[in-house]
Amino acid sequence: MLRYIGSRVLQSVIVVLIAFTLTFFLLHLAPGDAAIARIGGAGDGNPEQLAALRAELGLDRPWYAAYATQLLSVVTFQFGESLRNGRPVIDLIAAALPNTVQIAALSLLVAAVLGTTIALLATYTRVRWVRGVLLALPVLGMSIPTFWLGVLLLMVFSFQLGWFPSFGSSDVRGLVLPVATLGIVCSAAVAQVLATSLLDASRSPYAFTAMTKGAGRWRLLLRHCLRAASIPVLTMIGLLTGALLTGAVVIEMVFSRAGMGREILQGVEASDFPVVQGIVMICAVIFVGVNLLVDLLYPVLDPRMRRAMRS
Amino acid sequence: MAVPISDTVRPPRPGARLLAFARRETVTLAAFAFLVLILLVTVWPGLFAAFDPLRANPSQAYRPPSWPHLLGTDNVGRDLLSRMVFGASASMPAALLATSLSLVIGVTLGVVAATLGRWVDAVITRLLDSVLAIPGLLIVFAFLAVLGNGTLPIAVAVGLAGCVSFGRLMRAEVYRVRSLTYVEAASASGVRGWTIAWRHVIPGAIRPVIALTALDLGASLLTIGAIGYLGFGVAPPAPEWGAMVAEGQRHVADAWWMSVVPGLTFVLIILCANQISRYFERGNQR
Repeated sequence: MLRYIGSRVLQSVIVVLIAFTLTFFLLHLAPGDAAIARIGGAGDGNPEQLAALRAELGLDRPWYAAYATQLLSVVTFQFGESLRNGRPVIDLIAAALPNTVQIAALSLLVAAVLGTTIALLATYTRVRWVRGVLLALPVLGMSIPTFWLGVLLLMVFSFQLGWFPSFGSSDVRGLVLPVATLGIVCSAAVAQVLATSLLDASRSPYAFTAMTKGAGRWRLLLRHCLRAASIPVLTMIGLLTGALLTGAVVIEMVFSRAGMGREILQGVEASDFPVVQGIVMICAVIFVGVNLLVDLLYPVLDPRMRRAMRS
Repeated sequence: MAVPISDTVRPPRPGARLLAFARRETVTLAAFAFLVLILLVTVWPGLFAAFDPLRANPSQAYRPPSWPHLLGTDNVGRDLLSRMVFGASASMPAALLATSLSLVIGVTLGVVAATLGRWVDAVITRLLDSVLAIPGLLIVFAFLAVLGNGTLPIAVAVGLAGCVSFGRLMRAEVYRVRSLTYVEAASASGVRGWTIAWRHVIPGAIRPVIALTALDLGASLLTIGAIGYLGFGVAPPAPEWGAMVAEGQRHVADAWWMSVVPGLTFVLIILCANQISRYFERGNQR
């Protein structure tokens, strides 16, 4: 057990380190010089200004020196200062991240509840066309661009019906539409995976045993099948982390909310590398962290895995 | 007892088989036809657009879908259908380039990893895991920050992010095929690894790879659309589908069709791509 945990943690650390290395090389050794990219049209051809900027960006040092300094600062979660206003990147992220994580976490909740409901109903019903419609919903959901669904919900629920505000992050009502948008889109993946694994579970020998002992269809699904069928969903949720984070970033822009979306867009437009790198690394750490958690949860949820590990 | 060869069981005529296929896979064929239409529109937009996509005509502003503006007009009176048609040549080539990049790089990495094995496999697997850890949209942002705005950096970034699924699929496929008896026999009789990869692995993997390619094309289009919605890529006033949704959002109270039309186009194309993907995925079981 300890060995399993140890190897998972080590692998996660290696993945984050490689991800850091990749972004480092992209941002520092790119063919288009970062300093030139930053000055852009403003100060073209002024060598002194360019040299000063290169020194400021650390581009005058050899790459391994820059790499070592950066690695040290990223390990301690210091991502340097924003090139635009000199604010520490970590402060900027600390201010923006809660908004984004709030939307992502609430959307995950909506996606889990909605997806589970659709999958359970589709497996439970014996009416052919109802099942067909329920199983077509995830297929449709996966084809809808998140930003467009946001615009549609805005159109109907805030412009036509006037139930919810169309922008702003001040009160709770402003959260409803963004969370609904991202939750609906992500529920499609949950519903699709769970419906498939529920169907498999309901055809398994233990489901047959439970049925012969007189379990009703709901009891069979909820007590016997759902737990086994939830393991692929757990894997799915781990992989959904990336979609939830970037989805939240996009949704923030649809509903003009403050958060990571605004920060990274401003960072990209100004070629503010420390900000971009900081946000990329934070998202990679969150993704790897959630997937590590999922890996560690498998043996807790599935007794078969515990037994396999012991032997 | 010898079984007599019955003359009532004839091999079906080729035409009949085609007809049966068309009847069984009507939806897949319709999806394929729609994608071909979109490709034609991408290559020859002039043939499909009745109006200039850039010329404003204030007297025709905010016309709902009707004749002669089949999909309506926008806030300055530009024909929406013509803008959609010319928008295809902004979004589709980027998505196609991204998917081709993912396909080539991903398949190569997967085959190399599984064929060479050992430390090469370990290195490539970790590399793919690390790319997966950075959400695709953020890879695009990093590229845009370094290279400045443009369709090419977007397509390359989306392509690199998409490598992971192709790499993982090919790697698993090589390991699967290598454990088959006839491949073991080939390798036992001294056939070299690369020959086995070329003769046995790649033909066996074609169907799942096509399925993934179709799926990835839809996903790339979605990411590129999101980037366009956020204001990157093609510069206005040139039309781009994602940017058109954003434009439509600004006029949502006056003209619902301005954001509904490009949004529905995304949905239709991705539905079709996924339908084709599912056809190739289940194909082997029939």
